[in-house]
Amino acid sequence: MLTKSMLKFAWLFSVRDITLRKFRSLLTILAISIGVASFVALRLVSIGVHIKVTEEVNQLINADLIIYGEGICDVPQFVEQLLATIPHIKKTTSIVMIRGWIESNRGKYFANIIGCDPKSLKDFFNVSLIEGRMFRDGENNVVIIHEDIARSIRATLGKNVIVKPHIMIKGSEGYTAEIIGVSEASASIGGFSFFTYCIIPLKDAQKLIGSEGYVTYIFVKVSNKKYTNSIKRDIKRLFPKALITEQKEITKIINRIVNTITGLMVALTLIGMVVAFFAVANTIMMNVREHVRDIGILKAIGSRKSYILFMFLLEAFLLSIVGGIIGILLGIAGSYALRELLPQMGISFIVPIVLDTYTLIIGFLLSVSVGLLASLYPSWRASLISPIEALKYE
Amino acid sequence: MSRIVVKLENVSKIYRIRSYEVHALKNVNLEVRKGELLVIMGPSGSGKSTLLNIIGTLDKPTKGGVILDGVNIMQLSEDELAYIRCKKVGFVFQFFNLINNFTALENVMLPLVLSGDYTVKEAKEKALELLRLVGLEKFINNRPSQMSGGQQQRVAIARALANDPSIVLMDEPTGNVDVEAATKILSLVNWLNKTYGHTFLIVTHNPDVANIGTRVLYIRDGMLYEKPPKSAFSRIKLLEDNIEVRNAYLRILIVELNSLKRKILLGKVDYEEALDMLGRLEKKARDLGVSI
Repeated sequence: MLTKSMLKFAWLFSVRDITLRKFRSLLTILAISIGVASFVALRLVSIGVHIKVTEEVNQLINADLIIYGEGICDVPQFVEQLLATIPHIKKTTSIVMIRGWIESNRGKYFANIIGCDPKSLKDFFNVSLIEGRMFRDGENNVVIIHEDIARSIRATLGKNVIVKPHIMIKGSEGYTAEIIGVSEASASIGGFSFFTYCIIPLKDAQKLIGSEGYVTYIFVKVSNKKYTNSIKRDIKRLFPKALITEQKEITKIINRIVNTITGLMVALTLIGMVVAFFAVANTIMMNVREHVRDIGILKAIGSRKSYILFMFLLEAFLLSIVGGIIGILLGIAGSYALRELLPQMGISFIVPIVLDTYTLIIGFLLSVSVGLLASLYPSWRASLISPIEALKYE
Repeated sequence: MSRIVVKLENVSKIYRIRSYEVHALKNVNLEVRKGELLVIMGPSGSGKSTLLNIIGTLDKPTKGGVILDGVNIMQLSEDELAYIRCKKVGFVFQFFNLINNFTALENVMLPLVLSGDYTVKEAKEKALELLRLVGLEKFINNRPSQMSGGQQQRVAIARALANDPSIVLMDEPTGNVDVEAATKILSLVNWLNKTYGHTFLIVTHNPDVANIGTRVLYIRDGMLYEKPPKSAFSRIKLLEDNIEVRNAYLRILIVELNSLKRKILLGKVDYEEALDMLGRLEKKARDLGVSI
């Protein structure tokens, strides 16, 4: 049984041990905190990515169904008119989406080129402009570019840029267009891609790749979600070759991919915890070795085995608490640093960092449990040391 | 007659080191009474530390019985023994054995805390008085490493007295301090015994310690004697011949002979040198009664 005064003495012993061997304690704390920090940082970022992706994709929920073909741009545009015959369809729109480049005399930038009607721009996409305007019906040779592109190629409103489809797509001549709008970076053009985009009129896009009369996607809005399945069946009957996907499936798929990647990364950080485990085990073993004589003395003056076990566990516990707290703080800082690094990896959106309590608690529990588990064996061994042998120990 | 604090009945201790058996104690019978200052004299290896460890319940005898303050310790569990050590026994060692993470005061508080009977405040008050008793009130906040050997030993004595033990066991308490410090320590022990009636059992090979004893016993080869045995060196018997040593020496000669052979074959030594070396080896071999 531990009395309050015994607790105090165990505390004194451990704290002095930690402070008397500053460097070693520091290294152990560092090992723990780096393990915890990498876990916390990656988990926070992955939660942020998850939130952002769901948010982004959900903005596209404007389209309940998406019809597409097997090629890049092989859905006949007349399909859209035929869809009007299917009951419960509220709205439809045709979209061309290809990968390409935007060039100015100051540089070029990778972008998704989206061709759509001014009306569908309003109905199906959430594009908010920082400056300029949307294009009007019948207008051509105009482009709305993403803020990131504008910054990167130093293009401003009113300037001309060349929009070029990817080299693999026929008709890579390019298309000169005037910038009439710059869209906000956070504005989403639906979860299709997390890269940057530019928007041009549908007709221009079709002309650009030489496939007039064809589109990449037809977006469909239903009047009531409960009809989604029957509409899907109807479309399938009309166009057996059409591929149809629901928006929520896209969300699911994307999230599954994101979760797999981030889950893998978080799992990798557990290697850090394994390293921390050995660091703590090593420290406590060294401690036990240094204190063999003290253990003998303690036993000789009447200490129980359990008290000695407690003393050494307490030290590991203190180290891992400090390591855990520092690790969490480092992890939070690290998640912000990681967020700054992400755009350089081609992810253009800003990941929101949410201080998820669950993650922080897990990080802390991880450090404490690793610390305690790692010290269990050496502490237990310490408690078994024979006092006679220990007192002879030099 | 005062009551018996320690009673050993036919205590034997045998250590097994691989195939060897060391009889550290042989049928030892001993009674220590309350208020005694018993000094047991003996050279190193005579079994005095083993005796002390057994009385102090750190070790158990191979045979025989140990009764400490009326309790037979033979049947007690490890935790019960820890309790006995805490409450009934005080230890003072040759090398002081204070815990360096703790100050002098905390070292003296430790047995009080471990007993579970004192709050930190009470333990502190009592420890302070104990340190005053041994004349170290000025050093209460010093670490053991900041004190001289004599001071450390007095802290150890204060610690041993902390729980008012039935007996204080001392293993060469003056073995590692200078004469002046030894005088102080022995005077303190003597005074504690005479004035407060503390019971002490001191094992030592220092004859000065015997002077303060109310009773002196002698230990040789694991046996206790009332009077000093005749020769302190009786244990040492010089070996007349040792075949093992001779054989080992012979093997060394063979190695040297082979080395010489190699040098001759490689022409690294000239003829005269070789003859000279061979002559020397031959002589050594002859001394061992072998011819080469």
